[in-house]
Amino acid sequence: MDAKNKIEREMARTKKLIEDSENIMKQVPKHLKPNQEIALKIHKRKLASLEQELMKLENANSTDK
Amino acid sequence: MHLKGSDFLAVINVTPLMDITSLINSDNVNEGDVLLLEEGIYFQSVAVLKNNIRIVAKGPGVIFDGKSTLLDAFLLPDVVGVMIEGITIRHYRASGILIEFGFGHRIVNNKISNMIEHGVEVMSSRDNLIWRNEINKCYDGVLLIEGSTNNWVIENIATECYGDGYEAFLAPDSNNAFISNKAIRNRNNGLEIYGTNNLLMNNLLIDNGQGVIINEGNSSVAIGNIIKGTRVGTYTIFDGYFNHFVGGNNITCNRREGIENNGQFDVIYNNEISYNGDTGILLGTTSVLNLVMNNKLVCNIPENIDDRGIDNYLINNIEKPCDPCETPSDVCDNRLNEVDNSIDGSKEGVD
Repeated sequence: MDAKNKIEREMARTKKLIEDSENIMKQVPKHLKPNQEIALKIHKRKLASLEQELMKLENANSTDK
Repeated sequence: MHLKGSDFLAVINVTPLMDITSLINSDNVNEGDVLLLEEGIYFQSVAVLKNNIRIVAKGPGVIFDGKSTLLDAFLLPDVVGVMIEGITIRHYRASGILIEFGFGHRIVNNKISNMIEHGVEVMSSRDNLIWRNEINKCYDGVLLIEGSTNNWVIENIATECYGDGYEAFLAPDSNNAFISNKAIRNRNNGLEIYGTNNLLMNNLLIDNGQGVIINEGNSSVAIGNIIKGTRVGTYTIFDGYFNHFVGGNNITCNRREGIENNGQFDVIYNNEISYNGDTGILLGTTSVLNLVMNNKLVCNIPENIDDRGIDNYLINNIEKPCDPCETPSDVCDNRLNEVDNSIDGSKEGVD
């Protein structure tokens, strides 16, 4: 699998995880929420980083053409 | 640094009723302290925000259960030298242990199962040891991503994962070592290794979708690995990957080619490649100036070596055709049964 597909696949999984987690947050007991939010922030940072990686790759590919 | 140990260090007993994150954040816990976890079921995520904390299980019954509600069991964001030892982690919605930035963590002897994400995920982090963990039914067993370098992944077992046993995600995930791990019955790859100068040594890969993928970078080394029973591909080196060294591996009884090399300047040396259901070593049309030397190839169907590339050097390879009336499946059915028996014993030494 090429890098672009890999990143897109990982982004799709991470997006789904974040969406599902935001929905499920209502079920998390109040005292456990702060750490779920820390986790969520890390996954969002990962998603942003993957988006940047993908953009870099697409820019590099369009420069090559 | 000079510390008077007894003045500063403590072993702190922890029960399932305690909020471990708050405890670590409190003044009662200092760097270097050991949190000794009593057996029982813990329903929490732990964020370790202090350096050099050791979280250690008192016995085998320390269980973190996320009840399919909590995200990651242990979060290590931008800290250094945290140890997590002997803990059973199950049913979290993200990863068992998530490391982001920082370095030098010791993730040892944990049992991680049923994560929607990964057993251990290492993001932009370096110098970590991931040793003797048992990971079952996660996405990847161990994922190194976002520029994770110089990590040691040793003697882990990843089974029945939905993605890969072990993965170095892209080119920046370089200079890592994967040694003596087992990857068994994972849906995708046993080892999916992107990046430069990664070491794959003495790993046992059995019944995975694919055995090993090498892509994006150069100079990784694979020595002494055993790859058996893969279904959709065995050992694939992608076009553009150069100076890869594949030596002393045993590649047998796989459904497709033993080694498919599409790279350049690679060395395939002293491997035993036998009874695969397709060509033993396939040098693809993009393969250029590879050295294929001293390999032993036995009964690969339709042929032992197929060179479709340019200026590849084939020296002193021993090729043996199938015996009369012999097929790979005759030999492999017995061998894979033996493997099945040995898999059951594969967890010995990990407990």
